Amino acid sequence: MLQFCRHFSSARNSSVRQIHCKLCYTCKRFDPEKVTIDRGKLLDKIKQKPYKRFEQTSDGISPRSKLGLEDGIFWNTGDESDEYGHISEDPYMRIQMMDKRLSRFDLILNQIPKEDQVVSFGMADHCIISWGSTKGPILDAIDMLKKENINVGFIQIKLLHPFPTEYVKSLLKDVKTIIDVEANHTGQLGTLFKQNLGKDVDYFILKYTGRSMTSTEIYDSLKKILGNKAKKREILTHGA
Amino acid sequence: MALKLSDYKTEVHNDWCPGCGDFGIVNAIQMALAEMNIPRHKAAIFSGIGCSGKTSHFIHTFGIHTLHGRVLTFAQGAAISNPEMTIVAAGGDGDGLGIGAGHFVAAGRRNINMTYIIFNNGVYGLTKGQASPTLRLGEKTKSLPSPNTNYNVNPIGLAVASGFTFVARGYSYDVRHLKDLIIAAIKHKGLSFLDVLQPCPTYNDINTRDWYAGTDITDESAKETHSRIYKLEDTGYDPIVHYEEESEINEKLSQALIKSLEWGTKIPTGIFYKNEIITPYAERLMDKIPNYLENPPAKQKISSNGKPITDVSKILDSLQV
Repeated sequence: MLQFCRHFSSARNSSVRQIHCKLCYTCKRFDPEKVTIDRGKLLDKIKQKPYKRFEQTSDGISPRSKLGLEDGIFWNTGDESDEYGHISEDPYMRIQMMDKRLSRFDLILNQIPKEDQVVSFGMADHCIISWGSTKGPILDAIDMLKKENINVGFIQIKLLHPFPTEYVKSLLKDVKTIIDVEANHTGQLGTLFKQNLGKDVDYFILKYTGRSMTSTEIYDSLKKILGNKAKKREILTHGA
Repeated sequence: MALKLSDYKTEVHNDWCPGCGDFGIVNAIQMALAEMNIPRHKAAIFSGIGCSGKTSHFIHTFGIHTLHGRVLTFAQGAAISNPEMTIVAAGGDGDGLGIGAGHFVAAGRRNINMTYIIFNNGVYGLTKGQASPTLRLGEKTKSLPSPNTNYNVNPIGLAVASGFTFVARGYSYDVRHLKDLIIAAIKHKGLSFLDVLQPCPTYNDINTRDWYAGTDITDESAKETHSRIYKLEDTGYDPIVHYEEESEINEKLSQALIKSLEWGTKIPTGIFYKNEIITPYAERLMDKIPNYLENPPAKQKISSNGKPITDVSKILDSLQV
């Protein structure tokens, strides 16, 4: 929850929309005192006139006005716009505006703390990558294997776009086998991984029955992978 | 200092076709804002997608060019958050009565204090003139390969059926009359709907300027041309609901519906229906949030020195298990 607040603030800061892939879940009580609200470059008063809502700035973020603010009139459009926000088909303007917007990907990667981009639960020759609700059963399955003195690593990827390519690369640099665990048919994280790191994952453990994963079925699949008996795609079926 | 009409215009190049009915509507909106002397930062024009979508860029107030069929959702949000502001939504007939028809009906039920103007020309002008929801069954405009296979939506009828409390129709070539209607719509306490008939000189070759002027129905004996367009106010029509009586409301609703069905040689414009007895949404909200108008969402502070000013600990207490 605290992370959600933090991300919401950072989205405001970098003037981008965020999509949070989350289900309802329980969490530990958090300390509201630790929540900070940073509204970025939101203006209360317009000092520089004429005001340009989409002004070119060195950091790629323009100070924003709001409806009703005197001298802060702006226009919005879903199409490309000039610095005032007026719809524009000027090809040079398009280049400037797109360069400005897309420069924020680097800004976001620098702004969001590393631990909020990817969480590492330990490394080993075999390492799981995953995201979302699969975390719990994966950790349980890893514990089951630990009791047999088998170590399997796990990184939970929290930031999908912009993809934290360099950080993931550095975390996985000594890993020999990458296993993508996901609750969908195509292995979407695996696709993102391939797009950004330029290499395929070695195994998929996938479930798309509409039921949650269980630790025991993940454990079974991991055992098969460790024993070189697994198919490239391990499909899980537990649950009525 | 009173603002001039020119203060409400922007310098954005207008690329609408020569003779487009959109020009008259934009002029009428600018004239209405100037006549009412509304400060530019106290008004916002929301527009949808289509030729009419550019409306917001030609008017020097806040201008929000939104999504196809969704102009009412953005505009209603702004109107609820900023009850002091003058909010005008403008969109095409295809935008508002096709993909946006669900929002149209939902907006009527809420009755938020704002104005919605539909640019009604019977075609999807921006995308080469396909039949829009207001084109009549069996009519074949210029770019249709065969006559229209769908029945037409009746915008005025749909508005009165959905709960809009001010329902009127204007004609884009009668700019002064349209300006007066827009002023009346903005002043109305509740949701106002304006259906504006406008020729599309490029794609609608049926409902043209000449057609509205009635040049095809010249009275041979008198050698006179009678415009199809007439004004309800010239006929003694009373659109206003005066008493809080179901019988009167029903009577006024039905007469508006019957008037809305007039088409062909006589087309009514003016105010069809006006009901200020039904509570605006702000009043309904104040039943739950008594200080809503003094402290609407747009004015609410959420943080101080980077810290939230709302104490959520009680909510957290109640959720703890």
